[in-house]
Amino acid sequence: MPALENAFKELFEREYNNLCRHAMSYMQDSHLAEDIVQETFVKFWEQKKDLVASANARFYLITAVRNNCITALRKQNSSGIHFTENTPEPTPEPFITNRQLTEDAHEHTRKIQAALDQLPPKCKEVFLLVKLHGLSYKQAAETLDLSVKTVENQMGKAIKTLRDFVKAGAAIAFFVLFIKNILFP
Amino acid sequence: MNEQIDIIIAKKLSGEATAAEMRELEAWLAADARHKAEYEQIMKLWQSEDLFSAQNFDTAAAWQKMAGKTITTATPERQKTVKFPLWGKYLVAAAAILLAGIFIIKPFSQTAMVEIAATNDNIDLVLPDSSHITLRKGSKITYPEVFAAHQRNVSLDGEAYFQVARDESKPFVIDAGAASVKVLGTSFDVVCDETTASVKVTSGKVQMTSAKNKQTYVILTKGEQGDLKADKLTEAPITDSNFLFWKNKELVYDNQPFGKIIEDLSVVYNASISIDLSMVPQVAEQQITISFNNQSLEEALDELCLVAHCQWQQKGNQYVIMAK
Repeated sequence: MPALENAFKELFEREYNNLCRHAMSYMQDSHLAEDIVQETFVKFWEQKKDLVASANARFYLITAVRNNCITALRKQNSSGIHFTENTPEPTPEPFITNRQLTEDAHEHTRKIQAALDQLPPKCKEVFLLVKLHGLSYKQAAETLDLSVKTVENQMGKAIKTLRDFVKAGAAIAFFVLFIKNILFP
Repeated sequence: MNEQIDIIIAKKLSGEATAAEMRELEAWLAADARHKAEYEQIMKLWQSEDLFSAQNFDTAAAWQKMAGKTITTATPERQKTVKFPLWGKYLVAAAAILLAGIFIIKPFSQTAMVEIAATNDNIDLVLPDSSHITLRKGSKITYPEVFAAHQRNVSLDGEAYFQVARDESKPFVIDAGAASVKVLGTSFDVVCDETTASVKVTSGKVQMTSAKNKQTYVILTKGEQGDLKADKLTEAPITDSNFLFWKNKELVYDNQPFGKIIEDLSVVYNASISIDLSMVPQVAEQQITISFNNQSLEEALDELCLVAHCQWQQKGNQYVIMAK
């Protein structure tokens, strides 16, 4: 395989899973998410071949997947709802949906994901780039066209959510212990 | 303060914290035992897969689909039939005989062999069939410049991580000293010398055969390892999750004993690290969740001590972990 094809295959193998997870956070449907990521890759190959081997390829792909998801959601919505000029942009769908989780999914897992669901869209977006894609604050800021300071604050918010989650868990554990001690001294 | 500490924790976990912020975090952790418990749990969540959809997408299947739409779109053109005039057919036949002659003669001539030794550092290689190999420092690999028509043969001395390009018509066979390893297309790690061999599989399926006794073999799949020692071939689940440290410089621990982490660090960094008697057993035996990513030993110890609530000192070429 020539070098460029090889680089493309490597890029695909490296980024596909994370991009699909990213797309899932918008689309709520794994098939739709995969379709969007695959289409993005095909277009990328057709139109941006010169970027394939560059270090910027993944940033380009992340941004493209995100935009394509938003476009797809807008289309989905517009089939049922009529948009007026004042209609706000559809906000990205929740991070993880319960529909998507299999029934035997761990209770704990479901709770964290529900907690992350509550994050505001911008915060979620920043968190996805830093945690899921492993971008540095600076790279995430550039990709989303935000300041590094904003990325810092948004990441702080995400951590606060995790911390509240942990605290709530600790409180429940304490309560259970308390009840146990009362009932079975 | 609360918001500020969240920002600092986020920066620490993302690898963005400055030295001053690390100190601030340490002070916060030391201020209250609950802080430390909270921090550890946040870290555990941060490192767990639970944060995102646990679903894994089938990259290999998707690639099969993608390849057809992207990199191989040029092939149909080559399949165009070309009509030759009658005399042309004789020409084609003559050319075919000539070509066949070349193919027949070729196997008798020696194919040039490529020998690559990683002396100073790990080396990343791409073979003629586009398989990827990371050769560990101190190891050596030999392969033909052009692979044979029916089989892809390479020989290895030392350790390497293979990501073999799938080609079912041409098995990929590694002559690994004491063992022979045969695959169609997968990824796995091989360590070998004349008498022992170990194979750890990260994806796909691998057949590992004793070089001495060709009848003895095991089939390994993802997460399994095969070991050949003293002519005995065994198969077991991979227990050491950090076997690829030499390649990706990453160590990941999920609730592992403090002592094991110290032991690993001393092996991978080739340093002598001891636990001082000042450490109470509760600390020395605690379970820790932590990961190190391409850090220096000093950075790794800083981080470990922060989490385990202890400190370290360097005495000559000896590192000592002690109570705070």
